[in-house]
Formats: sequence, C-alpha cells, structure tokens
Amino acid sequence: MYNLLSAYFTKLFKDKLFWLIECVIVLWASYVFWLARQQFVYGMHHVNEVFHTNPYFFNVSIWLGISLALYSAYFTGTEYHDGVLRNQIISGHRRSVIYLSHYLLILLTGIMQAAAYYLVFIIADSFFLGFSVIHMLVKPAEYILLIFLALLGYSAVFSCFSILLANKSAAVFIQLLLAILMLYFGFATVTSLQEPETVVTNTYYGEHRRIPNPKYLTGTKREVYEWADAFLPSSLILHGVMTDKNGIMTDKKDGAPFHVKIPVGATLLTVCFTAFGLYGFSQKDLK
Amino acid sequence: MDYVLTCNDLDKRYGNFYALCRLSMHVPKGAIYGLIGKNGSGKTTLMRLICGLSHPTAGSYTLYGITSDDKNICRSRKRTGAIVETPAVYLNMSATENLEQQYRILGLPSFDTLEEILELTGLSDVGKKKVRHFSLGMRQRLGIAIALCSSPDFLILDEPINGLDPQGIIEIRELILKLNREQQVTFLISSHILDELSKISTHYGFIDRGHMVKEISAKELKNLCRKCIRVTVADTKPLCLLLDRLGLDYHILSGTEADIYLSSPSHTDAFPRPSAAGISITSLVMELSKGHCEVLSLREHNESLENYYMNLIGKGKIEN
Repeated sequence: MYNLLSAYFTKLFKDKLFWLIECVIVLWASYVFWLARQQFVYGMHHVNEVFHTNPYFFNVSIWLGISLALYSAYFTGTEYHDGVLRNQIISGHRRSVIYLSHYLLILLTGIMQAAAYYLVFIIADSFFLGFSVIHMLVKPAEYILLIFLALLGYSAVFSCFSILLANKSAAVFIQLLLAILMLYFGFATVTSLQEPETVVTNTYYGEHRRIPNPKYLTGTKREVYEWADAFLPSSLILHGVMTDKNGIMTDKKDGAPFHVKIPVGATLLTVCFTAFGLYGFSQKDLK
Repeated sequence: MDYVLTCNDLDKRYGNFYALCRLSMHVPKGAIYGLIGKNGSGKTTLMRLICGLSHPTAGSYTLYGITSDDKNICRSRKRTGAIVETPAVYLNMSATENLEQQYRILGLPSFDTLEEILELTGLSDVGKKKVRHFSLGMRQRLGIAIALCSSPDFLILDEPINGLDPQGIIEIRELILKLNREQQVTFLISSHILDELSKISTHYGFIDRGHMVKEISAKELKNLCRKCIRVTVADTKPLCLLLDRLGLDYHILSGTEADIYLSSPSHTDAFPRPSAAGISITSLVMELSKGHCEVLSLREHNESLENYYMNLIGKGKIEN
C-alpha cells in the first residue's frame, strides 16, 4: 500500500486541478476573513468585544463534499480512462489494497483542502488575537472532530462510486448530484432537529404565551431524523457551521443538537460503503 | 517440462455468450508462445484473465505453480509484465514521468534502469513531450517500456507491433529475441501478423471461438507444414478430375495453376510415393500426361504458417 500511496501522492502534487482547488479555497478563506473583519469594524459591536472569526471558521466545510465529489471522480476517472488502474493489478497489487489506497488518498485530499482554509484563518486570527487564538480554537476543536467524521463518510461514499463507475463523466455527474442532495437533506435534517420544543406567540390581547411548536419532531419521527442526521456527512458538517442568532459558535446545549448516534452513524456509513466498494471492485471486470 | 502458465478448462461467459469455452493452454518456460486467432476468438479475453483484470466463470489457471484461486496469485503477477488491449499510460505525463510512476507502483528503490529501458524501446529522445502528443507507435513502445520496468520473467503482449513502423517492428522483434535469449524471459504474444510471429515464436496456440484448436511447437509445425508442387497446366479442369481420381489433396489457384499437396495435416496421403522423402514427380507427370493434362511448369512450394492456420481454423477442429 505504501508504494501505491507514494505513486498517488506524487501524481496528486503534480496535478493542476488539486492546486487550483487549494488556491480557490485559500482565496475564499481570505475573502471570508476580510468580510468578517469589515462587518466587525463597520457593524455594531460592544466596546470591549474582541474580533474573532469563529462563526465563519467552518464555512468551507459546506463545500468540502462538493470539492471531494469532483476531485475523487476526476482522479479515479483518469486512472480508468488512461488504463493505469490495470497496470496496478498487473503489477501484483491486490484489488483491496488499490481500493483502500484510493480511499486514503481522497480522505487526505479532503483534509488538505480543509486545512488550507483553517490555516488562513488561524494565521489571520493570530494577528488580532495573538496567542489567544489557541483559546478560541478550543471550542472549534470539538467540531473539527465532527468534520473529520464527515470527511471519513464522504471519502467512503465517493471512493465507492468513483471506483465502481468506470466512466469519468458519469462519475462526476452522479457524485456531484449526490453531494448536492446530501447537502440539501443535511440542511433539512439539521434545521428540523433544531426546532425548539416551544415557541412564543402573541395573543389577541397583546400577551405573550409559550405554546408547543408544531414543527418540533417527536417520537419515531425524531428518532428517524436523528439517525439520518448521524448518517449524512453533510449533517455532521452543518453541526459545526450552525450558529445562534448572535453569530457566536453555539454551545452543545443551545445550538444544533449533538447526540451519541452521530459517531455510531458516521462509522457505520464509512464501514458499509467501504465494504460494499471493496466487494464490488473485487468482482469488477476492468476494461 | 516446466510450464510458466497452464490454463485448465477456462470459461468466460458474458450472459449467454461464451468468450472462452473450456480452454486449456500450456506455455513452457523460456518459450515465445504465439497466440493466433481471428478477431473475437478470445485472445484478449484470455490475456485479461491471466493478468487478473477479469475473473474466469469456470476453470482455473496456474501461474508459476500458483493457481488462480489462491490469494497468493498476486505474488506470481509481480514476476509478469503485460500490455493488454491499449497501452496503459498517463496522457498528461511524459515518458520519463510515466516510467517513474510505474517504478513507484512497483516499489523499486531507484530510477537507475529507467534510461536503459527508454533506450531499449527507442524513446530516449522524446524529452518532456506529453504522451497525449505521442503517435500510436510511440505509445505502444511506452507500453512495452512500462511492462519491462519490473524486469519480468514472463511478458504478456497483446498485439505489441500494432501501429509500429517497419523499423519499429524490427526493433521490437529483436528486443523480444534478445530478452528471450539473454534473460530467458518467457513471452505470450498475440498478433494478427502471422509472418512476424513465424519469425520469433517457438510455440503456437491456435484459438477459435473461445476454444484452443491446437497447440504446437514451431519444430512440429515446420514438420507438419505441407510441401507441395505448384504446377502450371493448360487447363485445370482435367487436372482436377485426375487428382480426384488419384486421391490427392490440391488447391486451385487459377484457371491454369494449382498446388498439389504432398501430405495433409491429418497425414493422409493416398498417392503412392517411392519414399517418405517426397512425391514422385515422374509418376505424377506421367499420370497427368496419360490424362491429357499438359504440364507447362512445375516447382516445389512450402506451406506457410498462414496457410496452415487457414486450413486449421477453416476445418474448425477442436483438440480438447
């Protein structure tokens, strides 16, 4: 596996598309940081309030799924198109090793893309916060774990599809569609689970009363949504992105609900797609 | 005899279509095995099975003593190199970069032999040109270079001279012979150009409709290839009647020319001959003369691999 990974990463670091995506991410991070700074300087804030970018720290995560979908389809599609996947089998590498190497490559590509974004923020934040940036990062550290679980899930799903679909164009289309659908359902799931149990309503006489929220999920429906939330990598990412109305990173109790099912679901998703992909690839006739 | 590759009743089925049907084959160590068959006969399918790109529906093969069912078959493949169908090369890289990539995949510690391989395959002066700008022949050479990276003991080449110019064909032929002679590399080569195969092969396998029709060594083939007499007569019609009466095998070339075979592949020879060395030309001419068939000219002619193949596949005889 080391030989394959060495070959893959050499190719990755020579690939223009990879560096293009990294540059776009760095530029995006710089732009978001600049916007946040502008908002702080020209917007309303308390006198003693310290500028920090926690609410924007995880914005890139939303797009990680899409960039991974595109890049995994492109990378594996090129291996199929040029026929070099055949060379690896002819050279004596097991199909399982080839599959897992592809998976690791996609995972590490996702980590590098996320790291490029976070690095810009850490460097830029340290100019304003000095060493205090470490203190500000403690809370996000919990969410970085969520994003890592999401990347594991995304990589498993996209590795599976890209290696089973030999056609590069079909793989790009299907994976892009899948990434967008996961993002949509992730939003729907997280926002549904975020609904409060009660809402304040105004009566005819001008009084404020708390009534049960009709949109609040209960019972089996809530259970199903929680499991969907656990399985969808996009949901995991959105847990890190969602903030409260003040733009402050939400605490576990106040913000998007965090539940035990999340690590279980994420692990199950990763394991199931990897197992399915391994089996499918082992049976596939390579043409 | 030591075999590098043996196939035992290999089947490969796609739906109801059998690409390979109970195919058995034996490639001796140190041989240059020429696999001959028409388009769609199953040559490439067979090579894909051996390389691990496909799985057999039934049957098995043994590579260096390890059967295809064994999980250690991958170890045997480390000793092989192959070009199957099209050369597998990165189009966005140069020839050197492609070879470096293959070296990494193989886990070779250095790129020392890279220049030597490029020179061996005639690619030492392509520079940094990307493979997407290569001609078909150049890509084919690069494919062969990639197959040679691991210094294999067994090379599987699917139509290796496809797209090569005459100079390239000669170079590849000499390379194959050199590797076979100096490093005892075993080859399994499929080609449509029978003339080229006949110059290098030590063994032949004739495949048709997924079946191995016949396996034969070059030596046996040479003995079997029928000698014939090519006669030019005034009219081949009385010649045909006469040869039918005599029970001789023949082939009419034109209204005045015909080949009369000294022996058939099934070794039947009805015409009495004075010795096993050859037909009695005197007796033949005398019989033709008696039959009022005027003989204008007469010369010896040997059957080529092409004729043998056409006769064999035309009859569709299946050995196994």
